[in-house]
Amino acid sequence: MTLLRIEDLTVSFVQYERGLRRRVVPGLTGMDLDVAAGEVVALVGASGAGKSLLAHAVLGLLPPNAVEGGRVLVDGTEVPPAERRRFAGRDIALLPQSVTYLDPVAPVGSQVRRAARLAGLPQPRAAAGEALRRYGLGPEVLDRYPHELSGGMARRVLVAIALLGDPRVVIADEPTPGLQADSAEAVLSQLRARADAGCGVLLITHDLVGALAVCDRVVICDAGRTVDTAAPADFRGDGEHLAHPYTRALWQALPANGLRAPRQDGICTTTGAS
Amino acid sequence: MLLFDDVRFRYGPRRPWVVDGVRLTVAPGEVVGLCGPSGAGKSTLGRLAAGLLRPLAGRIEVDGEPARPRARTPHPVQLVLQHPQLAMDPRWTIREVLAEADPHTRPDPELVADHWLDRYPHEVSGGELQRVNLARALLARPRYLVADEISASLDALTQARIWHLLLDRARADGIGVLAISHDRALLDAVASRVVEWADLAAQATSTPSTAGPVGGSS
Repeated sequence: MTLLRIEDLTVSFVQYERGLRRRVVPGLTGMDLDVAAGEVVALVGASGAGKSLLAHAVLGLLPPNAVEGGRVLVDGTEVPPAERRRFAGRDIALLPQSVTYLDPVAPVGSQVRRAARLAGLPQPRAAAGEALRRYGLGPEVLDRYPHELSGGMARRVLVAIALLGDPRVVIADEPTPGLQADSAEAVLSQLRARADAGCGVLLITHDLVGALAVCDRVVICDAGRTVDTAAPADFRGDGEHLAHPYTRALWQALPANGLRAPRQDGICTTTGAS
Repeated sequence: MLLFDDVRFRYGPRRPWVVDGVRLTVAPGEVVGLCGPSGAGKSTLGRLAAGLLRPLAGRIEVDGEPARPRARTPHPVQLVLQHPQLAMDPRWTIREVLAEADPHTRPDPELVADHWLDRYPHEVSGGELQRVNLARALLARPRYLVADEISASLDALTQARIWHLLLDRARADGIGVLAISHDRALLDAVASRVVEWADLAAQATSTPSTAGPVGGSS
């Protein structure tokens, strides 16, 4: 069953420069993907390819100067941009990219309790403690401020907050950078377990190797559009099973596969906005 | 030669030693990889090399001299960090950011596209901003470069590109590079030799910390 379907999603930003002269900066130029219950779909691509933008568009978190096109369907029903926030945090949860998404001036406990209230849980206080415990954080963490946590602990707090409302779709935006290998694996296997319990997981990452270990499909994006879908098993050898040249280049650029960088494009492919 | 001789550092008198008797050299044009888990003290060593921190004991020399730049000249060891957005003033355009290192020289066009110059740091992608960060370090004409997890937040292609750009420049100008990463595969691909942080620490404990510096000038 497809929980989330994204069809030809486009996003651009209108900016004003020097008075009333307008310029339109393209962000996404055509993203297509779908996530079914029980699967982890990895969205992999260069930084600046629009991966986080996609997550924010799906949740209705784009700034007011964003112009959107295409369709987002939740459970087969199209949801216009203005109504997407309704799903945020309940049916669809975002595990944000950076630990700076925690409020630096509020103790962890009050932030988790707030999330529990917003998720509509009847007993926010108990739910907050339970959520932290589930991710190996004791009650002493409740009174700490985000800067008093290690990077790995802060990440676990974010995971606890994101999954409080028992969402059916989890969009994890770069959940692993800055984590040591074992903590990164723990986060990824938590997401895998979520999917195995019937959730749909969209794993947005630039870490192709990490994603391959847990995902069912890899969607590759470049310069604001999705260019290829591949099976994890196709990523082996020198990439001879990968059909799309960009996907193959991404595989061959891994340090273990030779750190090869195609020269043909230099600056252009990574900007997307020129 | 960038030389660390029995360098020790800690963040407070009662805190544990973070850098405890490290001896390490980087020759001009050499790329040395430093590998170890996060929290071990690798970044502190990088900050010591670039003069952002002073060693509490031991010495750091750049080409035979203590690494103290003359007034108004950039430090001969430049540090490039993982998060370029934290290393730049968000209210400066990229042109202004680069002018801080050298207002008269055009940045390397292979690293920085012209149309980025009038944008603000948040208006280019993370990979692009890291290239600006590297370009700024190179504009300071360093003799050594400390690359501290510079590609940890980047995708594989962008990582490969930025390392090839860095290695090209380092080779052309004879810049010595200390590449710090937790990613052993990456260091094996870019460095001429790789040192494990654990071995540096083991070497420190096997030599008594009271031993004089290598040059015998104590």
